[in-house]
Amino acid sequence: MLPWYIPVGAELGTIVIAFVVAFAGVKAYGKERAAYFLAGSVLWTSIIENLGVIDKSYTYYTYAGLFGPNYSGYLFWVGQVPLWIELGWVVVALSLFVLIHEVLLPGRSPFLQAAVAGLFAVNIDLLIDPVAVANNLWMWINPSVYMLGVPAYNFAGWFCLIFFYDLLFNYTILQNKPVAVLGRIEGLFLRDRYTSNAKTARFAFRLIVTILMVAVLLTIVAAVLLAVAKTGGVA
Amino acid sequence: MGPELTAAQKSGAKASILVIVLVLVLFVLVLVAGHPIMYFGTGLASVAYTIVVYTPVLALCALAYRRLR
Repeated sequence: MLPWYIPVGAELGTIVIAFVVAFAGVKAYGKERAAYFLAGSVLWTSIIENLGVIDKSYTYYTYAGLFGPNYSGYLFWVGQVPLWIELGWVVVALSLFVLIHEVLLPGRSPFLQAAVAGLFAVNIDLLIDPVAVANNLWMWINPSVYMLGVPAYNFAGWFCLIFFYDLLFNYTILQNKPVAVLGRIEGLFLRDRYTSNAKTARFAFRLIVTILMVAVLLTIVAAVLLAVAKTGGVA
Repeated sequence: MGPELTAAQKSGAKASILVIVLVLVLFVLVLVAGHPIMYFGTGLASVAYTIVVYTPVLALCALAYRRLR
């Protein structure tokens, strides 16, 4: 087993960086909108990550027992996933959101902004995941097509999560816009759809719809890659 | 280009650049202090991979910083 300061440093380091990104979000968008981004993204990634653990795609108990038999490997957990994993995702998502929407591509197509954010998130994860795997911060345990020791669908997952969350936050909280494809369904549940009063309900509703959509999409991608792995014998 | 950024938005954007750099530094530290080999089998290949992978995102940060100055 690697030294104790590897998991402790990764966990505490990410938590400290999360405070810096919260500061960045508050400065860029104000307290209320930053709170929406942080709460929504922690909820979103907690659900997706816990589904991944339940599905036996990966495990975070690699350092369990490090400081005694009852120590589960990390200090803070949300279900089966360490909090710092969710925060790491928030850190990447919010910092890229601020830079791309406010500095690099302001006023451009929301889809272009979301796609660029997604691509750079994959770029950052191309180092995070192989380093984490080499140091047992988490462990992939399912058969699939692997790249750099990591299942290929993980990178598709990073793109999808950032891309769709970017659009979700942009349309719902920043621009307060209707989304045609959701309009009729939202009308059934939300009486006052496009006023600030309904913002929280609308955000929660769209968050759930998007999580379900992304979960289905990633399940399909993972299934296809599993079939490819079994056919090609690369699992 | 979009509207001029306020001072608060500029400091938020600068903090975002700092965040990305801190994430990159954190994982380099994990790599150096922990198991430095990664998938590639040699430390040298890991260093080369790290440089290649970091180049686009560091270029993004540099471009953003230049626009904020």
